[in-house]
Amino acid sequence: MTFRVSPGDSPPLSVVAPFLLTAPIALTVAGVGIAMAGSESFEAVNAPHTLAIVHALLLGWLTMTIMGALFQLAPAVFRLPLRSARLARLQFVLHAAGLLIFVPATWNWMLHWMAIGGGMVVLSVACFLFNLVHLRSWRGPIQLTYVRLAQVFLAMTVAVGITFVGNHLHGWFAITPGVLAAHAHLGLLGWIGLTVMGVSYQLVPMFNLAHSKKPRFASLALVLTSGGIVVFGAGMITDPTRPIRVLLAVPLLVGFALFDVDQIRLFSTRSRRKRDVQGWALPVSLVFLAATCLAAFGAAWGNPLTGEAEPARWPIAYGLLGVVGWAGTAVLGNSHKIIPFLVWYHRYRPGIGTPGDGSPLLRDLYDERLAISILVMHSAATLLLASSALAGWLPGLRAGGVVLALSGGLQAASFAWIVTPRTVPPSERGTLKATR
Amino acid sequence: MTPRHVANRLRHVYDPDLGLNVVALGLVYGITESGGRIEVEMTVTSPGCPFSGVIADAVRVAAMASPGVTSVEVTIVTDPPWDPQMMEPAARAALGLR
Repeated sequence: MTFRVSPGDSPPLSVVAPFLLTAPIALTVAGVGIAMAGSESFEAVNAPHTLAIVHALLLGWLTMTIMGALFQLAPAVFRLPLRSARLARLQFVLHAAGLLIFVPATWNWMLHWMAIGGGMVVLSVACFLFNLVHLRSWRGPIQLTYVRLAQVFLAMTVAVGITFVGNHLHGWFAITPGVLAAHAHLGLLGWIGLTVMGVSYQLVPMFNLAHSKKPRFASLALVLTSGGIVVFGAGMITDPTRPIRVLLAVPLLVGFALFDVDQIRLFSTRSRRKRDVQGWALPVSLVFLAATCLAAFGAAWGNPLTGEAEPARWPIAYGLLGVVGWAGTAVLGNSHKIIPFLVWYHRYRPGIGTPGDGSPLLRDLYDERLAISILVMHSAATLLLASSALAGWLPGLRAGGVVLALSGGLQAASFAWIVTPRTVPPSERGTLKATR
Repeated sequence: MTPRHVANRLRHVYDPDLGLNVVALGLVYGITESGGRIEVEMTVTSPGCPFSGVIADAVRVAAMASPGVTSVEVTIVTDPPWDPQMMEPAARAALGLR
């Protein structure tokens, strides 16, 4: 088999970078929101402040990171070029402006402004899907199938979300805890979860040179998680009893557990033994995924440990472990590969291969110690947040929010440093240098 | 100018992520020369590697810099797939491979 990738398929840096650079600012906003949280956070998952924080994390931080990463990865890895770079630029403005309106409006429960901001985000998602979904692309590797199904769940999630806003304005139906859980899981597991899984199946072997074993459960995990999300969502809108909730969660838990096992198998066979930040972030994210699966059982079962007065403690701990812990740590590690690659590709590519090539390596473009420090800080914030949520300890939750906000700020600074035009001396390439 | 000279030129082409050149990584499967025309058969470390197009272009540029070369054709193949055992010992050591 032979193939060729056209460098011209890769979108300009000015299309991709705004998404990736803005995303950690949304993480900082979410961290500040958690630092300002009150005791209502433990009482109801649909408290306005909690909803604002969740949307800053999911639609702001993770979704913008994934959108930027897919604009880069789809042409480069899946060979699916964007339809329009101009549309992607417009989409960034729509998305960022929509969130700037939607998140504060949700915090203050201003329904008309929520409708305006939410409508802009829906338009942004429509532009994103139009730009990347090619009908011919439904045939492809399993990684692409994950991403495609995730995009279907994204469309469903925002459609349901904007319907909720309309419902709050006009009172069409009751948004019960089960209905809310269905919407949350469409976004959290369907959109974010499947994308992280599909991208991980592509990037983990590639970044770590892990080729001696093939993924064993990629197809089964896809069937269980995507099918499980549909069944879980359909079941939850009936507000089922505790045993049924647990039963509905089982296929999802098995699917994610199989993915976890697959990733551990792949990582353990890596040829690249000297780790960079991605090599550290991956195992941390897999530990958080295992913890998420355990917490999910607690959330599905209910509140035997937390008391009737604070039923949100388990679901919040579960959500924090999954969103900030698993998906967040994976995104943090991969971003420190994807953003340096983007900069290298657009600034230094023309020089390589020429005698006296002075182009830097990817690792020359970012500060490894800063990246590792961010990873440690982010992981500590996740542990503090999740344990404080479980214990119902508000000072701990607020402190975790402060650490998370700092982590987001440092991520934004790290990424901005990578893309800042400057002279980057190439690192020593050792004894493998060419002879003249 | 021989295929060996060209191979030495290709040691200027680095994988920007791994920091190792394409020859040390064992990515170059073969180089043939006929009347100034060079054909390079090579692979990449992973199918779908985003660097593949860039690396192929860099290999072409590096080979063209060899004296007497009039044209260069680079073909990327995935069969046989790349394996870490194809790396030179120094490259394996640089990656910390046991």
